Amino acid sequence: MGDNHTATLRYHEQEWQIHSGMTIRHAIEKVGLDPQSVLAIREKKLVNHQTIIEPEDEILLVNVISGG
Amino acid sequence: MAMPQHRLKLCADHYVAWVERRVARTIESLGMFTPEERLLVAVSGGKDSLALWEILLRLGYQADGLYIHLGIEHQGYSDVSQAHAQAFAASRPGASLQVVNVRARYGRSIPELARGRGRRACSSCGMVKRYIMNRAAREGGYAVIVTGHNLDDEAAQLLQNNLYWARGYLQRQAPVLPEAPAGLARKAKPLCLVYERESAAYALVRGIEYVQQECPYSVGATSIFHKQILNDLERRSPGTKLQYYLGFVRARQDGFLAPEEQAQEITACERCGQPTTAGAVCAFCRMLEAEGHS
Repeated sequence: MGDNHTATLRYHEQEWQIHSGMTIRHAIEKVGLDPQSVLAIREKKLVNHQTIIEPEDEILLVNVISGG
Repeated sequence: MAMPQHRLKLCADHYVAWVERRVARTIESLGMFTPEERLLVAVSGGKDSLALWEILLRLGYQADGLYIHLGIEHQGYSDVSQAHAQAFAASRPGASLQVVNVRARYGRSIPELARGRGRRACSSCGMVKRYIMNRAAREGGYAVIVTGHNLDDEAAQLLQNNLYWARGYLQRQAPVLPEAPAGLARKAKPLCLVYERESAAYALVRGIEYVQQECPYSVGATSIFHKQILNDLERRSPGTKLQYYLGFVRARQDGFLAPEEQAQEITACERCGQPTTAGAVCAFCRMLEAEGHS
């Protein structure tokens, strides 16, 4: 865990420490993912991409694009 | 849940109710099936098929599940998927799940069958699943096979068919395919107007546990590339995917696509009795015979 102004973003095996205060959408774009292709979960609840990230948040990103 | 494509923002409770109403309207408006008919839902353990089964049960349809264990061993993919399908069925009163294990029944897993044919796994997988689904529907007396194809799946398929002007595939791409001679069951796709992210969100909000890992054979699939292209369009212009696919469905209804001049003749396979367009013996039986099974 980083300092108390950071939050954690997880996607599959990857993890990023990000600054709080930005939207989830901004954070998704910042780590190079497509907001259309993921949903965000915080505290086991689906959250809107416009949600502002709070310090020490842990955000799990779930892929929504399936192949086949 | 924000849905700029529909100009809607809904809370969790209203969101799941909205998705269920949307699917109910799709079933009715496209004449997919009636509440009196028995449905066989093809479940993979993934978000779309389990979300669809949940919706159909909540809408009061007689919907049983069929899980096909493909024998994909990479990270226990098939076992994990089956466990999710079984856990779902076990936690829903009245939900009945039939499991067909390809290796146990036919002697070879999908990867082994594909290697024997010298083809990609996806090609053999599609053919084997269609065969098993139709056979299970016939033997179980089900009126319709229902699959979890969502709007993104259908729009990506339409894009591929458009790019190559695959006229045969365009004529056969439809939200509901009627039953055909020789015992080919009706097929329907009730999620065809539900975005993939809407389906995933529905599963998450409803607390449905589904397999998160992707089929290892889907890595680099053309369909994923086409979905990404459509997502780029969607980002610039929300609603593009829906208009693209809905326009196609309406064009079909209005007779834009002429019937195939030389429709493929469907006959019963001499070996197994299943419908086939491949002549006297169906592709599935030919594949098993080449493998030394029957």
